[in-house]
Amino acid sequence: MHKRTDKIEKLTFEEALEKLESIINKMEREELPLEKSLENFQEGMELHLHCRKLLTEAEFRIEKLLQNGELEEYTDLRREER
Amino acid sequence: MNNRGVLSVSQLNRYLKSLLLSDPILQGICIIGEISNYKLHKPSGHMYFTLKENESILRCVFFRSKNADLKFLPGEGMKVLARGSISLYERSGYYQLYIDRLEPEGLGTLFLAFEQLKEKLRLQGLFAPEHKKPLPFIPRRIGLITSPSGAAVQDFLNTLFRRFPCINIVFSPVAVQGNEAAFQIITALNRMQDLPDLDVIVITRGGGSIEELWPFNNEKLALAIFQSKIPVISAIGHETDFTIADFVADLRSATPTAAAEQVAPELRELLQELQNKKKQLMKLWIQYCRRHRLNLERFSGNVLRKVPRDKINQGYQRIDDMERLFNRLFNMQLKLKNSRLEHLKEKLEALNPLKVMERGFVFVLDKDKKLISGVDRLEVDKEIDIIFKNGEAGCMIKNLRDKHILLPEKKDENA
Repeated sequence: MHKRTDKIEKLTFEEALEKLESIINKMEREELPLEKSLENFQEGMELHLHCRKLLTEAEFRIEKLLQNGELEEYTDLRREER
Repeated sequence: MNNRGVLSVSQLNRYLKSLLLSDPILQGICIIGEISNYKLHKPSGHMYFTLKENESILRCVFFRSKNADLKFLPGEGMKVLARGSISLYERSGYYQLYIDRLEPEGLGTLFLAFEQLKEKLRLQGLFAPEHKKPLPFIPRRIGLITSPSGAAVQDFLNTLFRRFPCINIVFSPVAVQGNEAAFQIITALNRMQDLPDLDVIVITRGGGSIEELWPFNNEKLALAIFQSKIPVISAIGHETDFTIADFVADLRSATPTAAAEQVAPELRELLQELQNKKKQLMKLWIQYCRRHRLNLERFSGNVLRKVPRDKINQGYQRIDDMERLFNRLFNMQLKLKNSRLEHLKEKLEALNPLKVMERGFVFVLDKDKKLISGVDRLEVDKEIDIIFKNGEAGCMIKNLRDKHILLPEKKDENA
């Protein structure tokens, strides 16, 4: 089980979404045995959560690139919550 | 004629030449006029033309040694500024301007230089489509090179935040006009090359005159953009303004706002699409379970009577609960607030198929944790684990039969 989750972690958003779609198609078309169907369902749910994480994990942050190449939090332009 | 010093033609011309050369005003003089009967003397590379203004003309010669790094090609009717010295060409007796530097005059200069640099870079393949790098579908970290003041940065950030708020931005404030601008932009662009996981760089500024947008026609900047490992989006000036940067960039957006719309997709749409996929998945799983429940019902005869009636009803009830739960979920709109997310996460846990075990189903795993679904995969004395809802049991196979309580005797089918 846990080997699969590592594999999913490495997928890009498009790859994960595509895999999720193919699992759904498979579950729609074929009559799978319990074991396969269960596995597909769980992988599908993991793919879904992975996609969500990729979408929402970063929060809106602006860093300023200084002359010396360092980065610092940039507040002047902080978007005020309108 | 009195013979007070008779001169020959050449003596006269030589004298006039020395007269002209000795006059400081006529040396390093700057003349404005229109080029006419321009001739480039092929082998030597010398240029001959006259400068015309109204009716008077001035013969000019622009030797190869001086015209080698000319940034533009002189052409008929072109208004130019010529800097050089006046002297006499003795053989013809004409005085002419020996040119040191030649420039197109006035606004023409910028447009002309722009067109010719564009052509030069085009021929070098800097605009070639096959060199355009694809943009990432979902950028994680965006480099932004623009002026800290002004509308461009605000428009870009506002639009981006509205579309895809879950993103990091590395902002490099630079001058976007004046002769410092190009240098600062190149420095920022090069420094961003070594930033980790920077997916795309946006160079943008608001509208302006051709002089104000001029830094974006800088050749070194064009090369820096071309050589950037990271895809570059340029959004310079208004929809109608095109600078060299726009031609070299991997994508040209018309305005800062357009750049924000092209750099990242709409997060809400993506989340909605994901949500639909999840619903579809759950629906399929439920349909799968229900199909199996119906198979159970088709078992007629005493077999079912032995199984306590209420246990099966309980099973049906459980599936109905799940279904109602899913129906409620289907029309529930997933909001972005975290509390909302946590709530849905628990719902997800509740739907975990392992809940099936509540209804008495167990899973059999062999030693290396592979799910066993049929006796054919087992042998006597083989160790297995049986996974119950509240724990697991390590067992040893004593014997195997290819029938059981739910599987009628093979032989007496008609019993």
